Amino acid sequence: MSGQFAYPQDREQSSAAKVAALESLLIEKGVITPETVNKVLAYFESEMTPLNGKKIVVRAWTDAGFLARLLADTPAAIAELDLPKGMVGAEGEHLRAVANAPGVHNLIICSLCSCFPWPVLGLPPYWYKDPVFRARAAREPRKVLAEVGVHLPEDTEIKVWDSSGTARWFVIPERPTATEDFTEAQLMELVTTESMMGVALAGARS
Amino acid sequence: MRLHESCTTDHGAPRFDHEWQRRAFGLAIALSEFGHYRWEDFQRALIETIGRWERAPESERGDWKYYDHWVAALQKMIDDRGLLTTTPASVPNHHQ
Repeated sequence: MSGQFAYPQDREQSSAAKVAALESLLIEKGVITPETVNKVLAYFESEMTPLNGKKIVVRAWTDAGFLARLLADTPAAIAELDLPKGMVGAEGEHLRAVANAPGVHNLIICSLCSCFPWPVLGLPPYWYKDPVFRARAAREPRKVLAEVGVHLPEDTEIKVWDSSGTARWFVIPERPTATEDFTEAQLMELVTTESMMGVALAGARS
Repeated sequence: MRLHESCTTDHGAPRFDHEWQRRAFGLAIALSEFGHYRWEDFQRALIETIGRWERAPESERGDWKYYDHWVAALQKMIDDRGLLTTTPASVPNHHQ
């Protein structure tokens, strides 16, 4: 393999070695214990998942009062639901919901880094952090949405919400039509992570 | 300019390509959770390193590797807070 192709792999190895060294030095210094990182990761991976977001969306679809409270004070409304303990920590206090409606489509991005509503959506997909996506979604959202299969009518307003340290946005997608008879479990299946980011519609096949 | 191809293909794909990225993520969160820095300060360090990459000429900056920036921000916070230079006894003073 030529030097050019070997480079990224070397870079991987050096990053991997640096992370391992930092963790073991911090353990040696007594700043963290050998279990600290595992515990934090286990909490994130088991409790902070899109399942929380799905529950919030379905509740908003079936309870107009809840939707209104959610839009007015997102963390307080989320606290009404039976979601994992500690949900309000870990950036939960900065959660802000926006709702799609006829004629209005919302899209969340983070133009500067990769802020994401972890407590309700888990960790962001790879492309959310991609510089091309971040720049283009801010500049030409209608075109980007069309490229990922969301074709909106010309007169639909697109609102782009730029997440930051103090506001982590997520989207309440529109409830698909002809779902009046659906159970809550059936409704939850219609809600995807992508639909709660505004890059897909609820019920759309991905 | 085209979107990264995963924009349309990696729905529901794993969030980490490598275990070291997962550890780096957990480590950054853990240090914040235990009060060694505010999460906003880590974010600021991350925004700075990403910003430097974005402003650099394409020929000089190398491929986009998100977690390299994450690790650089983590390293900066650990250095700034002196987490590896203080004695263990002084560390709890950082707790807020």
